[in-house]
Amino acid sequence: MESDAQWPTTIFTKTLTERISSSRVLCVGAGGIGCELLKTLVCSGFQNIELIDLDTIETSNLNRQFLFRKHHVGQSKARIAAQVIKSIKPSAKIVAHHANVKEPQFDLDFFKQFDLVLNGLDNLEARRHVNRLCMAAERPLIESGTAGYVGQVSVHIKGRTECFECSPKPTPKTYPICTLRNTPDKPIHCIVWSKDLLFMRLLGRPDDVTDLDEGSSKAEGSSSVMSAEGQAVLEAEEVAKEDLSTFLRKEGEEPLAYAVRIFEKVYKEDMDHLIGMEELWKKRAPPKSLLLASLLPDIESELKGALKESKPGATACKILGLNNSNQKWEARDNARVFLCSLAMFVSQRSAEVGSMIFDKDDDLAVELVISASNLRSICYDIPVQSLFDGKGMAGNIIHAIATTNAIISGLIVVEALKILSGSLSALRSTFLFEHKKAGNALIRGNMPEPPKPGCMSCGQAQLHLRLDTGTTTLSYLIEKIIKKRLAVCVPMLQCGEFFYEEGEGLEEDEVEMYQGLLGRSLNKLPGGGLHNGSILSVKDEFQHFNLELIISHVSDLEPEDAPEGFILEGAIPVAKSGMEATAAASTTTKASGDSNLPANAARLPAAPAEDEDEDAVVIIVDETAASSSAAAASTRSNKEMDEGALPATSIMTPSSSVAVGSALKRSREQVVEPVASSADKGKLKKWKHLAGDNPDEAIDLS
Amino acid sequence: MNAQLTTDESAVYDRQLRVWGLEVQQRLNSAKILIIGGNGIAAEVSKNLTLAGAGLVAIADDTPCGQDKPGNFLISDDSPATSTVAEACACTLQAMNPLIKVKVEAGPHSDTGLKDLELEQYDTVVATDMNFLQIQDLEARCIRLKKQLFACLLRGAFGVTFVNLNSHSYREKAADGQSFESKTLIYSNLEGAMSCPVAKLNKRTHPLYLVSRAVYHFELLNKRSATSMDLPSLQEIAAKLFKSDEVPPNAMYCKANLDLLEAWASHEGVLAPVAAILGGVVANHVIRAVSFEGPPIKNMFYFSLFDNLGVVEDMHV
Repeated sequence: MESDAQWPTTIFTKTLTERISSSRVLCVGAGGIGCELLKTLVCSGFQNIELIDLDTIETSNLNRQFLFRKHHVGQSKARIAAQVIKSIKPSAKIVAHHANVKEPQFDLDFFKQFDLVLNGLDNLEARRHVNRLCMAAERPLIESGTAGYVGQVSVHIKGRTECFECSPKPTPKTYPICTLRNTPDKPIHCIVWSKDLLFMRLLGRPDDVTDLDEGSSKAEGSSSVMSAEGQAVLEAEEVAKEDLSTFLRKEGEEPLAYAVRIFEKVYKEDMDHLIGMEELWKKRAPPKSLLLASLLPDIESELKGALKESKPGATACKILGLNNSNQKWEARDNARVFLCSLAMFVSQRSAEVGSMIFDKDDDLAVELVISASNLRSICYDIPVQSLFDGKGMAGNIIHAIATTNAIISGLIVVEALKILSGSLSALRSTFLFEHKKAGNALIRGNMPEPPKPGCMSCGQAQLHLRLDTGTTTLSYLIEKIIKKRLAVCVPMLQCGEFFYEEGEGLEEDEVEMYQGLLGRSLNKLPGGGLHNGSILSVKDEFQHFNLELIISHVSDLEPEDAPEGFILEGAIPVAKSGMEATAAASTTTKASGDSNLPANAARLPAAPAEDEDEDAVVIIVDETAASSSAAAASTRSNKEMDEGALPATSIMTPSSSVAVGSALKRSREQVVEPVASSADKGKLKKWKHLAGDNPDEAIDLS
Repeated sequence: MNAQLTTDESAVYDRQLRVWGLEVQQRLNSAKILIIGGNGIAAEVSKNLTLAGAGLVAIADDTPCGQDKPGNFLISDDSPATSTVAEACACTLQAMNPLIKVKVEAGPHSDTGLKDLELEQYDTVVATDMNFLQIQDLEARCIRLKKQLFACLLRGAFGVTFVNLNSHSYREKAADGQSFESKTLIYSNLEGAMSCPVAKLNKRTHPLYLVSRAVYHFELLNKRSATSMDLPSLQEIAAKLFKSDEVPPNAMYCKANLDLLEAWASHEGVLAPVAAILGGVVANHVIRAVSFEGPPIKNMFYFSLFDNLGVVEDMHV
């Protein structure tokens, strides 16, 4: 067993002690990991820390974010954390930024002030953003994530180890829109329907509803052959679109009468209409509609009194006396909660109606969404959920405990000390396992992987994009592919004479001109359009990010291969691969030379967990419109609930220790795939099994 | 099952209820845990158990809080210098979680040692800042009183935990994920853990085992802790224990492990990151032990900065 000659005895040298106290550290995130990290940093002697966090403190944070007290609820996490830490270590200089790390003030020069950047973030977009800035600023990044009992820490140093985006990151969990709308068969389908479709139609912004309903902005004139089932679905959607205004309360309509009308529309009329579409029920049992009159024969006397006495701030469950959040309500109780909560929204919180976004910390909203979802589940004979479980699913709540965050904070600081002491060969990607899930090990460190030559963030990347250039609009390309899939913030596009940009400082006529291009299909863009073989340059000056997209025109993408209407793959140009593969091979050789790990050491890709539960994305894929190059809609409401981002799933990739001889071959074959392909997902799943974890537990929220 | 959680408890504990469930939380609510010592590791463990909602968290450390307690982040700038470390910690812990009871326990006293320490009313004792001799004394009392014992040793680049839960029955989710299975673990005492047959050790055994066993035997012989001056005698003990002619050359006795022994002897300092790591692991397993759900560590846990490896070892005769 060979370790770095100096590590860890170098920890006790005066040189390192001085370096620790003079170093400047940036902590991104003051939540679960952030609070623990700040404490561990100042107790280790760090003196100069800047802290960025956008969030405010919630009651549900208090079980692990130990710097916060009940009276801090609602205040800035960054500011309170800084203030409390200073009372523990008065000599520490802590600068707090109550802000989003993606704001332009945190630019390259800002990042360059620091010796180390430590992430304790809760969403993939921000992680990718910070990674790009760290790579551009050439500052070491230590990335981390936790979920339940498991967690991980990885180190990213430009030119030495892989960056956060060198390994594929699983894309967010998607649900076919047709399944959500017409043929749900799992509780989560009903919950997503309730939260993203029904709730938004009842209480959300009209434009959000439109975005979701239309699925995508497709260019006019795309026609294709559709299955009979697909046609039936489209018809159903047409009906839904026309009827949007019926979801809103009419002038002078009594709150309870309004709620009753919505109940009857959603669970009786719409359901009967769906049942009538026989094409849908050839292979599956049709749903049943609900009769309010038989569930609640005397609504007036049952609910009127309770509603009348309810005070502002009360919830439907409170006024109905349903106090056990672990209880699974029967149809009758679900109907009572649904009617009361909807009536309470329009009577007590009318100012918010029309602009609401589902918030898992809003009890009344949770009650409405879960009762509505359960009623739908009852129609489809799907098991109902308790309020507690349903809330976890609707809010995509990641399980979080203090102990895991504390351990991870320790492991982060260990890597930070290695970097400051120059013990770079001692750096490890470290994983925390649940007891008995990974043999005897609870904590295991692996050699970090070398950078991947074609990585779009730390290398020079070209990606291959296959789509229908005749039907895909510029707006779709920008929103769904460049911003969503590639996590670009402020895109600048160029291909020959075609140029497009966004961001501050543009003239009004420029903005107008660029906006005029958004609706055009790609082959109708200026300069002759984007065609098969076009190379589109994508830049984000703010992220110091650039890559080339090689476009292939494909008019008949199979829906199974491209549920969202495009295929994005990484590719290293043939001419360069020989050279880069050699370079990679030599790094790998060197790296495995001082590895002290067994060859079969398990290793996770650097996809840290979500620690918290804010800010994320659910992508809904329309599988039915697929033959006309599938439409994808997304809602910006909740979290990144993707199986892979959770280390709870213990995604294993094959061993990091690559035999010297095969390294060359491997780096040729393993082209960079910033987006996990379906083949990759299969591989990840397989490894999950080997890890001994039950993948279904973490993946399938039902 | 016990009464439901209060509204406040449900709101604050929401995220962890999703990790360990209602019943574990209810058992935690009635758990009584004593933490002995007031260094960084005691602060970590008591913080973690306070946040988890252990019904009673008590701290024993009579040292005046003006004295340097490395890494104890529970003592804040405004803690009065006249109070003891335990009092200052208790004050912070109580504010951290008003839903539980936090208590100050007298001792341990420098003259009478651990003998007078009140253990009776607790289910679980977490010992920090003690050498193996003191742990063994405390263990004898814990065995007699049927208390669960977790002992944490923190030294330089190393963290060691010894656990003795006597006979411990717990339940665990069966493979189907629905039903529960009952299991029972019988724990070895410290002496047994440190007398495990050498032939049973192999290269997968955590290298710190050699170190801890040599240190244990040094303390038994010399009735005191080892310092950096004692390295030659520690090496001698290690050779006697592990380099035997009767058994095949043991993987434990190698240069790398002797380097660890040297590092143990020369660096007594406490490192905050190691305290955070060990404190998190120990608290996780205290939660398992007091809730009788899920397998707790049996019976040693070793973590070393030399290899970033943290491993559970079951050591017994």
